[in-house]
Amino acid sequence: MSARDIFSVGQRKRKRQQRDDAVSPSPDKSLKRAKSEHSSSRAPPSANGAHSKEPLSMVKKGDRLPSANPAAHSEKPSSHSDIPPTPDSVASPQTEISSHKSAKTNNDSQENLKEAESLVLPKRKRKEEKKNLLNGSIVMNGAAGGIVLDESSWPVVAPYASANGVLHGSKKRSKIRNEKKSQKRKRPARDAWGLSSMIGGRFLKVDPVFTNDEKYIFGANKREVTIWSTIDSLLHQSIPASENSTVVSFTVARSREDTVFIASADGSVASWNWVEGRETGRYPTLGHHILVLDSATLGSHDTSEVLYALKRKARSQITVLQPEREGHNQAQTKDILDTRKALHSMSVLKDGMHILAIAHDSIFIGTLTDPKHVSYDTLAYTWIEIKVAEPTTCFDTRLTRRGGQMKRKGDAGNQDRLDLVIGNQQGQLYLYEDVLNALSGDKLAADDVAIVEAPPTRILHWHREAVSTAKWSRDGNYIISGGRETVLVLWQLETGKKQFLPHLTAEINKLVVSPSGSSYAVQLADNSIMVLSTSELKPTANFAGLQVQMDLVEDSQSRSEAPPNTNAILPALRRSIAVLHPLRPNLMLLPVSASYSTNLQNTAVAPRPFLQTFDTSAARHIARQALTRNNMTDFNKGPEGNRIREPDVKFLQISNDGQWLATVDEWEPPINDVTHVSADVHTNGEQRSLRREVYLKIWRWDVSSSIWMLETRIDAPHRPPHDQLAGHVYDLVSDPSRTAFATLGEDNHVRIWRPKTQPRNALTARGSKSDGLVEWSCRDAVPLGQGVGAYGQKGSPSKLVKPIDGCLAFSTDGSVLAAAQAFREGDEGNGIVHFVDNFRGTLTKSTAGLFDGLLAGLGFLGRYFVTLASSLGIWDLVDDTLVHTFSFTEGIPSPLRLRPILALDSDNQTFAMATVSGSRSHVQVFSPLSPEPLWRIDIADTVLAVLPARELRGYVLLTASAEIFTLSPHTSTPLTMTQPVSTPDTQHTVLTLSATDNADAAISARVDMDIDDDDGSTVWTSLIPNVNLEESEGESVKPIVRPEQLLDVFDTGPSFALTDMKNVFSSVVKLYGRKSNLRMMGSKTAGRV
Amino acid sequence: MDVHRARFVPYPESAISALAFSRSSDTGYTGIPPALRLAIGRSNGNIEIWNPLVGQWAQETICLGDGKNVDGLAWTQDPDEVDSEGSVLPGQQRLFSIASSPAVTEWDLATGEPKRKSTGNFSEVWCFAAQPRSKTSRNAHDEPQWQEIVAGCGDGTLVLLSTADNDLQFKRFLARVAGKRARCMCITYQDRNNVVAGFADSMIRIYDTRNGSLVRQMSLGVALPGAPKNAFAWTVKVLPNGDIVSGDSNGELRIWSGSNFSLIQRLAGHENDCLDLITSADGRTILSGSIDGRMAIYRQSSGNGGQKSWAKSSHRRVHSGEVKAMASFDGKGLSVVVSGGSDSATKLTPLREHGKENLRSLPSLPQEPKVVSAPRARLIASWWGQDVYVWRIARQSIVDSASEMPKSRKLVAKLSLDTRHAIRSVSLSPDGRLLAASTGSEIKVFQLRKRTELETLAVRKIQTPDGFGSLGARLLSFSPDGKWLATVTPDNEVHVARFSGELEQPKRLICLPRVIELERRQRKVAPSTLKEYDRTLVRLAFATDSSVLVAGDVSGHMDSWVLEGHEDITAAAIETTTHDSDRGSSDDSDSDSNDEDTLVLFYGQHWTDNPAGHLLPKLDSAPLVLTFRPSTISANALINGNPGVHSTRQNPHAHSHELPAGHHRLWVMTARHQMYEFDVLAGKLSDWSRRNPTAVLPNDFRTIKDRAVGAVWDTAGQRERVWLYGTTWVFMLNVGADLADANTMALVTTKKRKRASKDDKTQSKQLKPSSGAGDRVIDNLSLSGPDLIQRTDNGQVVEIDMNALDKRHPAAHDELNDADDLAGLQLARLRSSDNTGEHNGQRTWWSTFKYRPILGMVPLENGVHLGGSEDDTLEVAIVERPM
Repeated sequence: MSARDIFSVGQRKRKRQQRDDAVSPSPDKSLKRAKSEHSSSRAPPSANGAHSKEPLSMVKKGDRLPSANPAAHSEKPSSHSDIPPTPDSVASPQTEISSHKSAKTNNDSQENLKEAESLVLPKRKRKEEKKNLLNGSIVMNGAAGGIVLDESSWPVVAPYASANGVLHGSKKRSKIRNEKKSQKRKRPARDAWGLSSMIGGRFLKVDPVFTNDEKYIFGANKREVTIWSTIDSLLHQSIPASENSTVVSFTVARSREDTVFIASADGSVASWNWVEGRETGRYPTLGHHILVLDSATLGSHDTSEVLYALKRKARSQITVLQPEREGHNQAQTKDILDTRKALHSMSVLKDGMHILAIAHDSIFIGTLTDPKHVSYDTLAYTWIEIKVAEPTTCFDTRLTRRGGQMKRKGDAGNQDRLDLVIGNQQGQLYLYEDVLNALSGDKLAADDVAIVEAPPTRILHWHREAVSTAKWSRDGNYIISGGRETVLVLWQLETGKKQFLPHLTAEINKLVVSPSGSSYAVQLADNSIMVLSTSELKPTANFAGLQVQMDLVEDSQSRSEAPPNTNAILPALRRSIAVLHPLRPNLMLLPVSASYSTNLQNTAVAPRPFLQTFDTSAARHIARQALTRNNMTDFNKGPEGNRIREPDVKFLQISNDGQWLATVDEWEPPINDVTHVSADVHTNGEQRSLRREVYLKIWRWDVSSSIWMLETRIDAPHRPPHDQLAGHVYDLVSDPSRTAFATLGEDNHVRIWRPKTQPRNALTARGSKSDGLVEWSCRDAVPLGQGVGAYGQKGSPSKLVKPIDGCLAFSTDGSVLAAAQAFREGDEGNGIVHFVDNFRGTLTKSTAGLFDGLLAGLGFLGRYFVTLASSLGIWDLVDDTLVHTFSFTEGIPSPLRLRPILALDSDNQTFAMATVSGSRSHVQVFSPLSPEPLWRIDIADTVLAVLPARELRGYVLLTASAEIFTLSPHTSTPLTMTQPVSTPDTQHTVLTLSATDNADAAISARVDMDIDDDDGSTVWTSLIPNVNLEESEGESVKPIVRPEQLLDVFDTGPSFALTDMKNVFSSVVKLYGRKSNLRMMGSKTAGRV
Repeated sequence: MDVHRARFVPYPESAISALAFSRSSDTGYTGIPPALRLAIGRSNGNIEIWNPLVGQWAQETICLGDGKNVDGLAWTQDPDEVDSEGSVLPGQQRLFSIASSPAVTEWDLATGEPKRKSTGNFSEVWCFAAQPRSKTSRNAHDEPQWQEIVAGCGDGTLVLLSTADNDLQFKRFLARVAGKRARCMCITYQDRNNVVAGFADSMIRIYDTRNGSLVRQMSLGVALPGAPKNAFAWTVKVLPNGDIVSGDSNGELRIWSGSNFSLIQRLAGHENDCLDLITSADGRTILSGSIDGRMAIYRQSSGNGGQKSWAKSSHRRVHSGEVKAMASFDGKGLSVVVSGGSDSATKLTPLREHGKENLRSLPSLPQEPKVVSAPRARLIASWWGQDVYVWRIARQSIVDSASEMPKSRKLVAKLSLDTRHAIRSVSLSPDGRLLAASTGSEIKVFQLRKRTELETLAVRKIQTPDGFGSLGARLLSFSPDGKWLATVTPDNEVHVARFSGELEQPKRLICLPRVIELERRQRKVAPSTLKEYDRTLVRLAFATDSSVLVAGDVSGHMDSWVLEGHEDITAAAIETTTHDSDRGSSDDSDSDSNDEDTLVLFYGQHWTDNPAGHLLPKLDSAPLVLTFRPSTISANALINGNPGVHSTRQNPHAHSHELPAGHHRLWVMTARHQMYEFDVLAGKLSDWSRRNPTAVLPNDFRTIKDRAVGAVWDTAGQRERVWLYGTTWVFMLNVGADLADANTMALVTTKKRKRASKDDKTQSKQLKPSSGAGDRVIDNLSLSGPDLIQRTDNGQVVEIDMNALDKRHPAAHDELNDADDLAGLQLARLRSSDNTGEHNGQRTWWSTFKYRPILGMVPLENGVHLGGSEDDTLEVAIVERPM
């Protein structure tokens, strides 16, 4: 407790001064404080009395300029003990890995971290030696925190590597050196940019796993296995995938709960002690195409784990691997099943006695051939294959001991009673009871026909569509199932009654029951895991990720359940249209679909009717609200069985003051609904467009309810004259200088929308709001056709050619609005950029020849004007000259591809361009002054959005895997990318230090962090367990109040000696009334004590 | 073939309201179990008697009701008797019904009429049940144990009725439950002494019938929110172990202990009211039906720790309306649940093989076609209730050519009979001049005449002789020449009436005042539990030259009569003579018609027993199609009168004994779809039939499940085709040629020899190894567990057929033993039929399922009849009942 106190005292004094620094409040307030302290007016920050014990930490901001020679340092990692590592040096390898995958980035950063860690280590050791010895887990826990960035540095942090560095320092280092040599980098002299490690990520479709004490839950995304705390919904820690690869599956060891086996796409399996946070083994021999990993201990006497992996390529195989074998250096594998059937799930039961695997049309039940003498060498299974009618989707098993009175003449091996539930595509659940008895080999071989009978089957049919998951409750009395209906169904098996938990936010993908049966973890299709209490069916924890559209191409390949029709899917994949909140750049707003697991048969990608607000600094889901009508929790099927389509939010912008949100959504009836009115096939499109609905909606931020409230809806904002159809809106931009939005549409007009306070009887109509009722309307409609006349190409208004696309951009000061339209090939008007006087609402100039080909983006950078079409052009508007132009060969914008993305950062006079080809993206950062890109990187993912990080320098990248990267120059103020770190539980952290020691250690560690920018922070958080609970929890939307905190308030003494009621009340209010507003948090908590 | 698709006949279908098997299982019977019949009670009061025939399901007879909804059906069997020789005579099976009245009705199955009604003064009977049959006692001295009947009434009284001494008597009141909602909704016997009754006040009460004491009452509790406050116990049934199962208005199934009457288990079975349920014979399966048409199956399984518990296995929507009634038979070869409801179709659900076999629907249209035609007059008649409707079908050519497009059909007559009972049968003479209609107690004959100015028909009632008109008839048939009307009375006597023109007005038809009864052959039959019912005549057929009459009964016996002599217009219309002693050929017949001492001659002709009648074999089952193959050879040159027959002193009423000439080939299709052709006068199978046994019928025909309803002959030109039809199908067989080639024939004949020793039944069973409902479900679509599993052990793959394991059960053993040579037959059949029925350049068969459901298919003739020209195509009207 003392650590907190000390920390808090030091903290609060500075809080108010530092509000500006806390631009991106981190969920872990302590982390943020660490940062803000560091950036406080005190220079050097580390001179802060309590923290300045270490000379090493006294590195000034100014020292960290790119002029430092990081290369020299990184080439001499062994000399770390004397040379203070500058952050630049830490991140420097990043700068030239443009030709490498982002996964590579991770490695490099890991290496650097290791170095950094090793630098830190000796100092820390003095105070933490004992502690480290006692509980390496603390270090590990802290490392889970991900990235903590200093304002003046841009390190790339992979915390686990750092933890490794601590624990396996020497071994690792040698490895690092080797890699360094082999890579032979050369360091650019230029301002170095770096790519952060990702945050977010999409949960793999793997069953989450509870720890036995149910305090943590394991999930996995492509890059790491994440361990979440079920108590406070925070990330406890994460375990990265092996280098250059992605996580495919994982399993927790049966014998030792602290060991996790992680299978990677490259076929290797790593075992991690997640409590201590170290890799304990790596077995590269299991083979590729692993789908499911499971483990078991063989027999009762042998406690060593055996891994079972289900692999599938052309054939399906189940392979076993015993990682730790006495007398064998090399782990060996062994196939126990090889079948043509495409198995998709597997489960190993009861010390490997039984294995269950299902393919779409079969169930495989394997039983140990010789259950009495189990050893790895003689491991063999007898398989029984049962054909099933409907394609299976999921299964669960329940293994119990047979009752005493059911004595059959079978041997002891048949005392198991295995019940099996299988969900299928038709929405049925098939319940096979006592499968083993009915199907066991002995019985079948015997002539005793009286015993043999088909297992009793029950069919539970409620789901209309495929069942995604079905699980037994722990007591076996219920089956809990979920599917596409967003309804959790609880089947009471004894009575046949059903209970429902309807209106979940998205389709249910996975469900697991906790070991004690007291909660369910439900993985939803909106990329979140929710923990529900079994008794009240109330959520107790929620881990939500970004709900970005799934990269269907990538997904279908990895799953390969249905052969992907790439041509059909690619064009449907659209750019995400995320925006960052102008005032709180850590908040990303993006339209999302109801659930990302769209049906692959349904080639059209799901529309996006919802708005998700995501805190990029905390990697936390903040809010989700509907922007259009949707049928998420309703019966959303038409009479012909087709799903009802929601409108799609195409554009989203926030006004400069952050108070207004403008969205454009479009809806067209599906083709099937218009075929009866259209004359022939070709007029289907015409009929659809006649029924198109386009709305421009303006929403106001409602502070009290913390949602966007619809203020104005403009129907068909760009209805072409003399036309019935609601024209498309091609672009929507927000005015940087005032509260206004501009749209460009199919009617060849730029429209500027402004708010107006409604006057009523010469008075301001106020309504319920103090600031008056505001109405948005079109202030200026600027026709774009006329301006062409300057070049003699004036198109007569009578035969106005409709554009097929368009682009808008405001100049930095908001005075000029540039608009460009794209027309069909052969039509006039291509390549013309119109400049509109924003304030007068007139077309000032139209310039042709600024771009060529299909326009992808344009924008102003001070005096420069950037266009991105088939080539990239930079024009000096003052001189009216072309500064640079260069064409790029890859990522040619064709209708079938994603168009390249242009993002301009006017603050830093840079712009970034992302081109996508296939599932790879190429991001380049340019300065208008230089024809060469400042920096470039390849990302093995589809970049959906590139956003300038506003006040901070750099860009935020959003990929189709729901991951966010930050791209930023090292000298800039980076986005604070701090993931909230769950407080370690006392069970895993042993606090042995005395109060003062603890505090000292903590603080010093924090200072280390400030300097080293990497894992010091994580160490620091780990060292302050419980004490900074409130701070870390305070980041969540709702304050989490633990029972012990309440106890602290109430349990002060006997009832007659209770303190003043007022005090008690205020204490309670303090506990519950903490503001969830992130920006306000610091001051609020500061003022508390 | 020209087809008129006639959809204008508004034949009404009525909902099923009660179902009962004559016994629910084979258990408890020693020796040959009594005959199995299914009674289906409908909302119009009719009770249909069906013969399951090991899964072939043929409707045998219909007991016409008085229009009141049949609320319940129950069968009893009288105690066995031991005759003087010590052999056991099985007791008679009796059918009882209740129909919204304060009486229990017993039906006389032989006549199809109500036999007696219960006595006693009690209120409207809502439900009733028959006491379980006591164990048959071999000891003749024991008091015979007659089954009692308990009836639950609308006012809450329970009444015991006695069936003793072949009577139905009120015995005593068992209990009287007071209260507003005391209506007894359902009742059943728990054992011979205890009665379980469910009441509308959501109570289930157990009474001891011996002393009338209330043993226990169980409450269903309060209904679910939204439902009426009290739950109804819609149905109670008892499991073989004595446990009680109730289905209530909440859709819940509750299982109560049979010993201490405590609630064992509650199962949410349906979302709506559970109206009826059945239990399997082994007590491990329950099926329940609900008001939304779903049927749920529950199975007993060992739960945790091995204790038995019930669990709902699956449900399925079986009926489009509600499931009103259910009945089950769970025996050796047949294990099926029959259900019915407002959609009027009987649905068969496999019980033991639930999930492994398909459901099946029995036709809801009557087995006996309710459509007749007068081909030459192009009239179609159909009847139901008290009404007969006659339509005239326009000629195709006229319809095609005429510019004004006259209506293709016209209702030309509607006869509403002034009778209390519903019409049982109607016949039209082929020339359309006579129409006969009969109820159970009346026969009425009308002359139809075309009016000159109107299209409608003039109807004139023809006076029938005294006694004949009041006989009533269940079957009527005019002979092809329109001179004879054969009737089968409800008591299964065959009478023949002669019609002729009046002397003064030849166009005015009269019925000759004398009607003769044709004696049926007495046969020694095995004692049957249905007694007289087995002699019920179900089909009647005249030969095309009207000289032979054949009648077939339920058990498969056929009686035949021939018309001796030649028509002599000059002779007296009716002559009566003593019976000749010199009848010669009929000497050896054991007929006791010798008692008959008078002989009636009509115009020199008289009916007599077919001298070869005793040679006709008993059919394997009741005939469904009984028709004479039209003789291609035109009858002998018309002999006017009976030359050479002169009255003498010794023989004042000389009459010819000349038998009709030519082949009289009777073509028979039985309820088991066995095909025979008999030369009736020779009393043997015809040559064609010898060459073409049933086994050569194409597979397409053998897979048809719905039984044949009738047949139409197409004999124009050189063609000899019979068009068979059932409710859902039409099938053409070219019987002019052989159906199969020599190879198949050889196989078939060897098969026949091989099987000669065996029971004839096995043949049909082998072809349908199903338990009474539909065919087996396609391999892996089976709902109840896998059919085939694959076992892999050390790389060795073994396939294990789960069904084969099941079949190793001794009960099913005999069905499979000669399956291998059956395979050869199948192959041969395949070979013969893979040219889609082409054989020797001629199509041997053809089938369609395009018309459905078919009420009847009747022939029509073009009025301008050219007499067997080549291009004369058959013209038929297929009367469909759109669903």
